[in-house]
Amino acid sequence: MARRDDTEFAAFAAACAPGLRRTAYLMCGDWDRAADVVQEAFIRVYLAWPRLDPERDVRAYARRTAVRVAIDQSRKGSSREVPTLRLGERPATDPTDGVADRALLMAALADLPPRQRACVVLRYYEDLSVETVAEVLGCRTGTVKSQTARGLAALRVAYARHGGELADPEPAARTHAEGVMP
Amino acid sequence: MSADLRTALRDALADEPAFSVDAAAIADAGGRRARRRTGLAVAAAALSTTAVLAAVAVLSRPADPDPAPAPTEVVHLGLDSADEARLDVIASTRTTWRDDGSDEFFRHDRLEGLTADGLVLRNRRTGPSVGALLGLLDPRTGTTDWLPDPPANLYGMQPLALDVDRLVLGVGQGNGHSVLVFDRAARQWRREVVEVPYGLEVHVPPRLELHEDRVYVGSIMEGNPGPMRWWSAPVPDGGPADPEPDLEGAAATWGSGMRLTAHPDGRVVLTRAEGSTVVAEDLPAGCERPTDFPDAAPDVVLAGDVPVVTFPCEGSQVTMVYRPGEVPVAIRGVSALAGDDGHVVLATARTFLGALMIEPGTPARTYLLDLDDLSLGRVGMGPHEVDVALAAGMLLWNEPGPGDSKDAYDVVWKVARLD
Repeated sequence: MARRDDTEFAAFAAACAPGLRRTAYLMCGDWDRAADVVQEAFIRVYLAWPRLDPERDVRAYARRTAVRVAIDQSRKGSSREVPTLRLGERPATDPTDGVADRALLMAALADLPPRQRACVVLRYYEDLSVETVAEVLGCRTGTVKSQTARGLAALRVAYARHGGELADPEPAARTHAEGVMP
Repeated sequence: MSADLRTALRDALADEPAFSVDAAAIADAGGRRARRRTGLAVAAAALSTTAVLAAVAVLSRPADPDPAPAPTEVVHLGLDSADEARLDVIASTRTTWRDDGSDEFFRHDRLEGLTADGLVLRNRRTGPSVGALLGLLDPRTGTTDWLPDPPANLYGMQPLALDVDRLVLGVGQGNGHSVLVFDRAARQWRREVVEVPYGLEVHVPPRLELHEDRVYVGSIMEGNPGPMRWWSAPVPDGGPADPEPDLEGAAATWGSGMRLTAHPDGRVVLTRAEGSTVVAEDLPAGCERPTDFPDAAPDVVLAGDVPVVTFPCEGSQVTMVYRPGEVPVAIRGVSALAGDDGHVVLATARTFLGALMIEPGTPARTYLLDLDDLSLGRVGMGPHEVDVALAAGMLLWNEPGPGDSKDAYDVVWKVARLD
């Protein structure tokens, strides 16, 4: 039980929570629900805390748990995301406005199936490798590649509908080291 | 408006509200949940009822970290959520027999399996005076490479491994089983006879499994609807099969470096070299063992490393999909027939010892489950025969042809690419 030190867990949670919530927000499109996802993920991490190996990446475990909680919640449909912009509608505001850009991105993300959305977020927000995303999602690397490609294609279509263009992402810039929370 | 996705994703977080996590509240909630789980487990054991927790992942070495959140609930997937699957059929055969006294019964053209390199195992017989031929159909060209005459009657044939370098088939019935091995490079057959005890159930084909260098034969005994029993023999060599008492009562299948077993009481175990994992401990909620055959073993499929188990229940069946680290998925009224890394083929027909039990007049449906997004696709009617497979990114299935009726046999086999 040495690892089950509540002070240590509290420090860990405080350090990880902001980054986890940003990822969860991109997964679900709502800051309050993102906070709920993080809360549920931390409860599961807390339950596993005594068994987690301090030599292994506990942060990666927390991220994996949060992503899976977000996917599970989106599948249950009880708290279905309602995007503020329906695809096919033109944004009422100036398309160069940042608010409209964000609304377009979040509406396009909302139309992706949960796993495609997770692939896009983990690959291009967290800059994780295909192999790491596969580990997070518990699937094959080939699945990550195909899901990412489908997700990108859907996002491009959404942008094109609004007269915009989504550029092909550059290779990972490695702004975040593998396995480390942003 | 041109956007870079990475920039757009970061810009989308611009309105991030303040947030702080309450670690004490999390610890309280975690403690309550842990106590609740313990209480439920005790209650379940005391009452001996159906599972309150449908599945609990338990590592054999509890000191190790659990790499995935322990599932404590079940996602129910309804067949009414299925859409029509859009499949690009790349190969097809059809066999029709009319009950009119002709020799049509001696003619067939079936597709029976998929090789790892994307060919289709074809079984054709053209008349009463010739034996059945096996061939490998290339769906890209439509040509079939007919193999040399097999060294045994193909009665009761089951493909055991259709690899790049060899084809391994089980044939026979009762205690007379053979394993046929075709060396694809040398284009030569080899036959190994596997002797299992007399008295095996002969009306339902045994379950045959190949793992490494042994063939496993699982069956019940004739006239005795007792537990499943297993024997195994080496391949090549064959000979008298050794009993496998450790598997008694269970359904078993083998995958890459793993063995999946499922017991009539609902216990499902995945065994790897490093240890065993209890995937489930009880029957799915609402599933009661069938009163006419309480020892009936479930049917098991490994979809990559995903255990898929069909439990026979009183009045129906339930298929459970145990994806690692995910909430188990329950699908009522279907049996799992085949799987690959990303899909499972399901059918509303019941299975018994791994064999389809087609009840005349009861139309069945086939479904394709995508393990990534849990979407269900309808794959026409059927199946009519057991020949269903997933391999090399392709799906093989069969369904009744337009002339199928109580007086005529009409079955169409199809192969489609999944991507």
